[in-house]
Amino acid sequence: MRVLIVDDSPIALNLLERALQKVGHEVDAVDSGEAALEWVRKGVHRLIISDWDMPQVDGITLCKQVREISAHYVYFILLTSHRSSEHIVKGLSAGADDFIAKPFNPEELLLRVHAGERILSLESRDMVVFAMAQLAESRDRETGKHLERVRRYALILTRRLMKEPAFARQIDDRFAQLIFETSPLHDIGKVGIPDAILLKPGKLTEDEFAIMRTHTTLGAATLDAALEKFPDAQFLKFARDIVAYHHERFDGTGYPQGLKGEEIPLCARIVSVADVYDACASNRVYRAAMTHEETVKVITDGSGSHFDPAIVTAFLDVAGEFSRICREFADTGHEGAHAVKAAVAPPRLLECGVSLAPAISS
Amino acid sequence: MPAALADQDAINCATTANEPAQVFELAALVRRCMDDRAFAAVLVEKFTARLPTTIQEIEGSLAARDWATATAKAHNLKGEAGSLAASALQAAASQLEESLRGGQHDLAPSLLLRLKSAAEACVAARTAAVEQLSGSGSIFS
Repeated sequence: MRVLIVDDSPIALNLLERALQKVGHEVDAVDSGEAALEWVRKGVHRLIISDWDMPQVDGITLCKQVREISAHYVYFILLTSHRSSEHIVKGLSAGADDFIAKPFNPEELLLRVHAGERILSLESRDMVVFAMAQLAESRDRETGKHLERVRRYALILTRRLMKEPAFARQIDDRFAQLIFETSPLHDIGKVGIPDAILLKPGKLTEDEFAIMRTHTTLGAATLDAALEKFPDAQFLKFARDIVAYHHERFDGTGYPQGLKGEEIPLCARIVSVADVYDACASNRVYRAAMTHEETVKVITDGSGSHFDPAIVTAFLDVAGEFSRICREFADTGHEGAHAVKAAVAPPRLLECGVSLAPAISS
Repeated sequence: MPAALADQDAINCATTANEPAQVFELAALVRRCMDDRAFAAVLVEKFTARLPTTIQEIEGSLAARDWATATAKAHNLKGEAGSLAASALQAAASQLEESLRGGQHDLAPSLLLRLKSAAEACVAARTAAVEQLSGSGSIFS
């Protein structure tokens, strides 16, 4: 496993590195909390061992930032000579998973790291869900890294909303984790859409669009079947809300049920913005990607009609992050062959309901 | 701690024989270094090379009545000394740290004296410790 170690003591870093490398871990060592945050933003480490007392960004601050920034779960171990209950509570409240006393016993260190590995292996559910979502999207040729981007957009937006008093009761770390894990499933119902419609490069007829819209109810039905067997599975309920309602519109003119305003589950209202942003900012067979600015305009123009105004306000605050994610997880290469058709194919209504041209052919 | 007792304690430290196995608990250090004696020797060299500067920095902070910096540096030294299994130095650094955290700044001079003495013992024991770690002889007393 690749481990990040953080300590302002060169001696401590040497000792930690030696102990971890001896059992095969790959180690990145930094001597400050600030340097650690640079690594955290890259998201390459699943386990971090950090000293508590460091200047400027101490271990507690670093831990809180890790919980805020990281898309995946990071197991966080605090190295400390603090032993009081007060300090343990402070560390756990910051989100630390474990503690190691300084000076550390290498055997104990390695056992606690191994315990962290066991915890992280429980994330296999997330991997399976993502793989299922990818499979469902695999027929849709324009997918690329769409799912990865959408889940990251949804997470960024959720974390921003978490700071708003109006959403404080609904959004917590668990909500954020669930939206990250389940938003990739938003279009699983597409497996039930015939190729002739799903892969049609031109405009959809009214009848064809009606069939396309059923991907929401098809996906919801799939998850309803799972919920019958596991009625208490919060994960499934959350996913079902996103799958069923991410094409509803704030003004009640969406589908499948025409839900209005806050009748639409919050998770679906969030994923709706994420999905539309990605649809607009990505290349399609029938058109090139919009610029970030054009995409932002689409979102803001939809405030109150398509989208929840409060969520659009939050989006504007983190729009720069959306742009960064779009660049960092850009699709590469394979869309080239499909892009040839863009010059000849007519514009069409995006599956997400954003109209760039007259939507339906007569 | 009464100042007079602290002074006597410091004098006692200075007169203790600088056997490397007493200044550095070599067996514990080697275990912490995953039984790599050569690596342990490198750490002793590194640590003792920086020690005089570290002590000067603590002394400077105390002279400037910069209690926060002095406390932080004493804390760091405590940690490193502990990692190097230099118990006397670790204890001296810990005492200084705790007295500063407790606002007992008047004890700082005598505790600094004790700290300097323990640090000097580490530096004096460096060569013998490195030789013992680099050799094939037993480091267990």
